[in-house]
Amino acid sequence: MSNGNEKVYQAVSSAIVLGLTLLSAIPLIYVISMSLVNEQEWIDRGGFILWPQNPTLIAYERLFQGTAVLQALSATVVRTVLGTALVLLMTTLAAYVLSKRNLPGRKPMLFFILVTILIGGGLIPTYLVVRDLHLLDSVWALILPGLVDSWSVLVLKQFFENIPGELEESAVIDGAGEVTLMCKIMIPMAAPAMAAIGLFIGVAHWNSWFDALIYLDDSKWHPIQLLIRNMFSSSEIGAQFNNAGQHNAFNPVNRVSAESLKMALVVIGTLPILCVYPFLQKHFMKGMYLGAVKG
Amino acid sequence: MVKSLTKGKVWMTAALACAVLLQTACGNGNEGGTASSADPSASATQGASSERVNIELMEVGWVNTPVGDNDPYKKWLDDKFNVNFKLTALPAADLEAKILTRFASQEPPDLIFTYDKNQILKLQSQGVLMEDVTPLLEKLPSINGALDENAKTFTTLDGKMIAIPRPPEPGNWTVMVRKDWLANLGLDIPKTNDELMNVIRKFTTDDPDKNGKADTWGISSAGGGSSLGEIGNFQGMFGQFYGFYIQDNAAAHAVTTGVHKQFLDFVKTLVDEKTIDPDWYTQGWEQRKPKLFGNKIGVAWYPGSIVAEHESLQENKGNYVDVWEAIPMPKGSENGGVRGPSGLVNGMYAISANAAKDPAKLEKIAQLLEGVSYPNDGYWALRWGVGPDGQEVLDLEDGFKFYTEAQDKYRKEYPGAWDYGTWIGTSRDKVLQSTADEPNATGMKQLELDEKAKGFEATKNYNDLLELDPQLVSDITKMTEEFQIKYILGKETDYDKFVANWKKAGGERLLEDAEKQFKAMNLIQ
Repeated sequence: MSNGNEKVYQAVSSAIVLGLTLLSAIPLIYVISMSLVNEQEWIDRGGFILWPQNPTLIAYERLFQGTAVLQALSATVVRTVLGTALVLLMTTLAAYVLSKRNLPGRKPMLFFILVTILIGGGLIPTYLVVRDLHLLDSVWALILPGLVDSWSVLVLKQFFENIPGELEESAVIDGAGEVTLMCKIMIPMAAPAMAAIGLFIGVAHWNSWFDALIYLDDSKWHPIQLLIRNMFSSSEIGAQFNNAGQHNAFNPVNRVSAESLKMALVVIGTLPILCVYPFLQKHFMKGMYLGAVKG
Repeated sequence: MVKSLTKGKVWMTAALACAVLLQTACGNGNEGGTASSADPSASATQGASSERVNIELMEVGWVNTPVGDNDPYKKWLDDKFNVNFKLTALPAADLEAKILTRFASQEPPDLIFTYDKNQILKLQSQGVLMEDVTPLLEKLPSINGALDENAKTFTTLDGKMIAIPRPPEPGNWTVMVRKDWLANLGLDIPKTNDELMNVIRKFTTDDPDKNGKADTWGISSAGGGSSLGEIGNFQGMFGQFYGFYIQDNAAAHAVTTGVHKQFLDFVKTLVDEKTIDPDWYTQGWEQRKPKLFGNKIGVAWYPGSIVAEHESLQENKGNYVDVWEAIPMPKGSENGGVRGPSGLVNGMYAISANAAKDPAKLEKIAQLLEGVSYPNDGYWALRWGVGPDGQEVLDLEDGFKFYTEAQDKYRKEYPGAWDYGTWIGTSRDKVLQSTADEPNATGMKQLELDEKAKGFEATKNYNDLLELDPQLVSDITKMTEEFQIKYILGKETDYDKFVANWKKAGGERLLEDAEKQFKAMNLIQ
């Protein structure tokens, strides 16, 4: 292909990709924009706003006036941090042990862990187990049932197996025990994979709501996603938050539409986890590909 | 040696951490399941309330958000009825999953409130509900006295009442029209479909708000992208349209009687002439509000609260109190000019078989239900906070009452407390709920429009008396939804072919089933 044609091809491809990107971004822009408008602007501009003319944080102020949103956010952060840390710990331990080819009973152990990828306990049996372990109405009901992620065990096991055996041998010769070997040699080398898995687990915990619905009657540990779901299904959300506290004003400039409240809730429920991604990005990209190449 | 000590510290720390985690896991959990079991160890620590019966209500709520720890409504209920009351409010979409899990794990709630009869039937078929609640009705005069035979029939299966119906609500939705626009254009209240079409045209083309801009439409809807939305109620212009019904002593359906086609032709004309808001099919209910209350739409299907909503979105200056008029459905045929029917019931209370086996608990449930039903004291307490939260309900003329949210501090902070009223609320209480400090013109106008609407003719509800194959009903409903938008947009033109397909897809069989059931009920001779 000549240089001229190549340039035209690049220009057209870039234009198409840029167009598709902008199209994909429109819903996100809409969510953020709608969360920043008051009721007056919503009425004046007909309800579909991609760029607020008078941006305001009134929707966020109203949502944080009561305790429900803050409580749900706190519960979600606790669950996500604790859950991710514990899952990583347990998954790493399981993967490291199972990566040892000379481990007695390795194959049956691997089978029992991996079969859970295909077969689950089901809703009712799992609920019965959680109940009989006295975990209902506790944050542990949201964390312990998923403590060992089978898929992550597979990925990490593969990582550990790919680490050259010579490294291990030289560490052992230098006097390293199993724990030192695992903590100071193997885990640092598997850091990219662990970062990727940690991100997947963290996002899964952040987005979970169904387990909270089933296991928690006490709303103290209800996560933000469950609160968002409940509020979205409420027809009274606009009335509730426009009559709160001293903001019982009739002026639409001081009021916020139900649509804006919902969009603000979406932003509150999404932004924190989005902020984590840049910190893990370099590990994430490395982790996605390292395990694919063997030897 | 130093390395060993350090190693020992690491293992000791890890062991301590595990012990703490296990302790937290076992210590923070629910120790005794749910409130539906009377826990002897709990009663030992409850002192004067040691004989309280645990009662859990699971319901479809309005708000479904948390209530605070110092919940005055729970306290009032516990003290008044000597119970340990637990309220679990969930969105309708989640109630089934939660209920089924709890029943399957032998920890059912004692009382369930739902609008979905299929949920009740599902539980009844598993044998986990009280088999026949009829004997309980004697202890519920406030509920029983307001029920008609159709409501009782609705919750009866094989001669046994499987749930206690809540009395139906008279419908307060009707056609609302901008009477100031009618006056500006010298038009009369439309009484027929042709007059309505003319009004809609003029509202679109003749600048009814006199602002010099062509920025209005005659009518709109909020289909949400999946249905025609509330404009579907205008089928009533041409006759009955709700499900399967009785016409000329036979089972009938709007698809086979021609009502549906006449309605589709009406909407098609609106779309072709561009006299309907172009977003009518895709926008949701909330998304339509800026247009409706931004003075862009002239005709709507709404209850009397249209006045309050319009005013609140226009700074409550009183400019829009008297712009809407409630009118009867315009008549498009001999059998037309009707609103669709109200539901036969406004929700149902089901009692778990577990609770029914305990005579003391069953008695308490009956006391509770009777005590909180309109017009008893408990109703005013839970629904409007009179008692638990120090709220007041003021008397107005003609038996109406007024309640202001302005002083309701607890429910402002914890809106989830409104769900104490979800399972008992009724418009029979004639309460005007307002954000204003005292009754104003807006509120009185809302009451006036609602009372007018309740007086307009509505069809009888035959469909809800039937037990039809839900799969067939779902199939023909889906088929109808898909066809009607295509017909309106001109992509399908052969209505007769649709009717033939509709019958083949299950419509014919459903008509036969309906006919048999109506005969069994002696509604058809």
